[in-house]
Amino acid sequence: MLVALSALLITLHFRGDNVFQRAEDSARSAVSSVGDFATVVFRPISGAWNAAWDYDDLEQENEALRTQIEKLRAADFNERTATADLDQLYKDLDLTQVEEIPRVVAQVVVPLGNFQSDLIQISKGSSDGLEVGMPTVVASGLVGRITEVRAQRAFVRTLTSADFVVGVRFVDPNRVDSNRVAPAISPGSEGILLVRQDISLEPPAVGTLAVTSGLERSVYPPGVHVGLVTKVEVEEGTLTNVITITPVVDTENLSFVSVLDYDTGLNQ
Amino acid sequence: MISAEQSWRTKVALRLGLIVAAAIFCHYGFWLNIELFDVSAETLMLGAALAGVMLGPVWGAGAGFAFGIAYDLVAPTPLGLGALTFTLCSYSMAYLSGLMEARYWWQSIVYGPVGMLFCLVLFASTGELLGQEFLINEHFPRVLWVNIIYAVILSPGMWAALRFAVRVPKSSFSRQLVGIS
Repeated sequence: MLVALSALLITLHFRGDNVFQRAEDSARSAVSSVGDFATVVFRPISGAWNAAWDYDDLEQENEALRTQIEKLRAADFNERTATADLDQLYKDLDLTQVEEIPRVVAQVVVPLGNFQSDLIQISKGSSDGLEVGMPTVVASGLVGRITEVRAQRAFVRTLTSADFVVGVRFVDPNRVDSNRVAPAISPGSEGILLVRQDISLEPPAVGTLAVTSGLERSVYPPGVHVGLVTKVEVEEGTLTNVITITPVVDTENLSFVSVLDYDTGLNQ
Repeated sequence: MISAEQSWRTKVALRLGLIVAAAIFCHYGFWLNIELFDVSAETLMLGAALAGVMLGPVWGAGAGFAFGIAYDLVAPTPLGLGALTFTLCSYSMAYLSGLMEARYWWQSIVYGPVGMLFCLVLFASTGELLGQEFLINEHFPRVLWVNIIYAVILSPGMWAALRFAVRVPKSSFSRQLVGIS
């Protein structure tokens, strides 16, 4: 009987029945509240344990962050000039900047346990106006798009997930032919992204920034940072260049994301 | 009028409910927040496995189902997956322990890791069949062996807790009343 009941629960979950989803969400919220309380109760012990085991990792992380801060300071001056130029360009061309798109800020629900889904769960849902397909970003760039929405929570498929596709263009300020639209980007292994491009087209230089192309009816607004070109190589046996892109956003360490209410024109 | 056996069964059910609730509280408050080699302890799976050994197929499967539902309400997997696999694990462990009687606490050091391994593999492989492709990945072998270590360490404690739930009345008269020799 218990096996049959379990099978029934799984069936109802996959059917996506509204009443069942609401009951499931309520139960998950209740357990989450109990879990939060229990975490507070046990925090002194778990904190001591983690401090003892993770001390070396923290030292390394601290060192890496110091190096990163130095690099960011150096890049800041160049960026200020570039931002002013970009603002002027957007104004001249009458384009919408990502910053101007209405957004809902949501907290990323930190996953617990050994089994981590490749979807990110966020703390806002349909009651906050979220819909399937909405792009999700952070200040540094694209995170992904919403694939499932519940009343109080939603799930974001990140750009490094399987089956994620986004059109990009390469922006290289040192080249006359920058802003070229490239074929769709797709995830490779270990968190990198791949673009396959005809060999007759000149490939972008290493270090070139890839941004969303935002072509007509694209799900994503134009100009959102996607990643940096880290490798370009010719694929053996085919007449294509394989361009490796490293995402600018570390999707595994997010606290908050912005969900953009971007009109893709798909519903018109 | 409630018979002595019924009264004993009610007490077992209440004590078992208390232990399941305490295990869930500790799992979410403590065990999920600490890691050894980037792996946290699957104490609810261990509870389900040992419940089968200690409580037998019927009560064990019930406890396994309760542990499974609690697991489902936090895991990013479909609701019911944990309930299904934990129930089957408890039942299977009850059958296995029937072949070799479980009497001593040290036997938990054998049953715990075996049950944990079985439950983890059953959960992940059933999940994969249901399209949860993130369950078996390059991290999974490490989850298995680190949880075997956890199981060896934690099994005696879980065993003692479950033994408390099914402890029999002390007087021989009461033992005869509930049908325990």
